[in-house]
Amino acid sequence: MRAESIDDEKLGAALIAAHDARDGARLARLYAMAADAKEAGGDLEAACFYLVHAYVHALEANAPESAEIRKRLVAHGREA
Amino acid sequence: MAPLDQKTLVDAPSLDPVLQPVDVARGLPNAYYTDDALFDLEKRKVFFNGWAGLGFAHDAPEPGDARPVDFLGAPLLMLRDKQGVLRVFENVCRHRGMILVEEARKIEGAVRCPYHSWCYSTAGKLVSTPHVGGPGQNLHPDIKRDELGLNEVRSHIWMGVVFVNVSGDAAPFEEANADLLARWAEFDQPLHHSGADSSFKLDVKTNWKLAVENYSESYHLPWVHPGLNSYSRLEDHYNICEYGKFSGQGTLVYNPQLSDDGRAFPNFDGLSEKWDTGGEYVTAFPNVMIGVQRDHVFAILLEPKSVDHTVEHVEILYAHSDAMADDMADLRAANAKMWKEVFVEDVFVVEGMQKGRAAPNFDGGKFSPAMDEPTHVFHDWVARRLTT
Repeated sequence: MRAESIDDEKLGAALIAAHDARDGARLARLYAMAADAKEAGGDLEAACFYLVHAYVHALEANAPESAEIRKRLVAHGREA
Repeated sequence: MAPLDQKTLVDAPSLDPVLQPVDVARGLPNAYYTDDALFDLEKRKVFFNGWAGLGFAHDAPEPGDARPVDFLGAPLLMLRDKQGVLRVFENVCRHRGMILVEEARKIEGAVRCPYHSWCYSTAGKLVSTPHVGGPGQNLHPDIKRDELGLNEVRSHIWMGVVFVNVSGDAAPFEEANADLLARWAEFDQPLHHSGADSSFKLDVKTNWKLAVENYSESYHLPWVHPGLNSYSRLEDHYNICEYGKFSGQGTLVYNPQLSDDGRAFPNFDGLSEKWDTGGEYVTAFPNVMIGVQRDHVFAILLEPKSVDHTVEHVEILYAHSDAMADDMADLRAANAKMWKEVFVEDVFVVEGMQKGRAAPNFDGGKFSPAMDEPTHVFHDWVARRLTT
């Protein structure tokens, strides 16, 4: 997941499309990618903001990556 | 100031004549069929404070199935968890009271509130609270998740019906309905529902109680159901009267002929001889009218929409899985058609009695002590629930 990257403009468009399609699994992946980009850029707060969204959509969709996203949030003291 | 319930009752016609023995009693006064304030009182004292029918277990058959139900204005949610356990919850987020599930659907993972995205497991546990401690922080010391799961409503499944006790303080279902469960203990076996061909509903312009009253007695059978009377005569029936508990009627001659080729539905296992030709039709007060026969049961769940509007949800459940076979489809259709014809024949009666409740001088009605006692048992039960 972290290997995939996408620029901000394309990411925004992809997020809107996924929201419109109510595609929770896709939303989880896209928000995780956004979090990865922010974390790589050293912006932990922004990364956690996106991780929260990734986690919620992964939980709702029962997406397999929810456990991994939760681990990342827990590691940053953001989730139980 | 008197509590609202007391004031409503003080302003209402007296229930004393209802609480007399059947030979001198009168039926419930008109206002109990026409007055919105009394309907509201009834909602709380008759429906919420005890056990009442909410829906059917097969309304949410698979793990993850969620079905919102408007239960007399209370937004409830039937939710089957990943392990297959069916529970009932208030259909609102513990955060801001937002409705969680608007229409029946499958919950793939968690129930996410559409407002601030608090997430609940299908067992009702609060599992995530996004940004609750500020942006990017899902934790806050004052948000104790283990205290903030969905509000569960006590529920119990019997005869395929999901019963709920909204107030949460009624006696356990098995205790509250002990005598009825004992009476029909032989039918406490797995039930089989075939889907749409064993399911129908009737939208009726009547107060829900009139449907119960009509179901309770056999007195009307020869007049309203002449076809039924050709093989199930009035003298083949008996009254079932258990004051404070349940009432209805029984027949001694249940023997339907659904096909010309001798095919029939398989029977429940191990029934006693009484049920070879016996059938019983009882209301689990307040709103679940159930019929039991050797090869199938049915339940009519009354959904009161308003003081003078009721939806009757009818579901037929079979004794044996063999009754679900494709080559039994014509028999199932014939059985559903037979019952639907009977119940539709009752519609003009319950709607006519509702219209009759607008007659200013009608006094609730004079019962036949011989034929109407099951109705009196129901009125007695309602009156006692309203006044306690």
